[in-house]
Amino acid sequence: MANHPPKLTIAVNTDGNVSTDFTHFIGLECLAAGKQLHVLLAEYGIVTEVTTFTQKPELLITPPSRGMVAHTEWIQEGEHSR
Amino acid sequence: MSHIEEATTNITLQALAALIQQGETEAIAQHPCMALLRQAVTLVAKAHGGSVKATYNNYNGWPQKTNTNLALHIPGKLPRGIGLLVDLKTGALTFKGDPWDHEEFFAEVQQKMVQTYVVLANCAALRRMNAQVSTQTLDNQQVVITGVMHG
Repeated sequence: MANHPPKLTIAVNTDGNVSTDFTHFIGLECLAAGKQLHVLLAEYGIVTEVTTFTQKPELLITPPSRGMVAHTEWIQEGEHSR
Repeated sequence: MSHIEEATTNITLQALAALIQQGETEAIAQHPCMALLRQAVTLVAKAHGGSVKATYNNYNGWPQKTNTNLALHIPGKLPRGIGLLVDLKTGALTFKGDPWDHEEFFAEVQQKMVQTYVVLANCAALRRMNAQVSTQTLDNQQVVITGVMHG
């Protein structure tokens, strides 16, 4: 995994809604990247409301903070992994 | 750590609305949201063999002004054009025109302009995050943007 640079894959639907897949991030860097992306998008007038947040299996190694648990949809091992 | 986010998006151009209200012509022209809006409408026009003008026409063929000076015209498919306006109270991007006899395409092209704007904004944001950006349009018209981060 260390050989792969962090990557974001953003699928934009015809209605403008998006699904953003963060891969190869270390630790909590993906959350920081997500926050930065939202801030920059806001500068372009895009107001984003996250409707689903799914952690990938490798995240289960690091326990999420208490605040994150309420917004987390735990998934089966292998699902959504790339 | 990695995760997947699904999100709804709204285009709310409040800063641009304020500039339009103040009549700051030069600042409007140079605003990044206006640049993206112009680029989005131009891309949709090119994809359909159309053009971008400052006005759209009403039912009687009279030109109608838009507060963005942007209107999409596509011969045959959108003969009276569709104007892009920013709601000065809310900043919402709105579309105006007479869709008579072209209702389906009128709705489709609005959605395409919104999708294109969202794609361009995400690409611009990713570049500012030092990502190498590429895009791909799928058969279902979904656009997939890939941003590989460097440094």
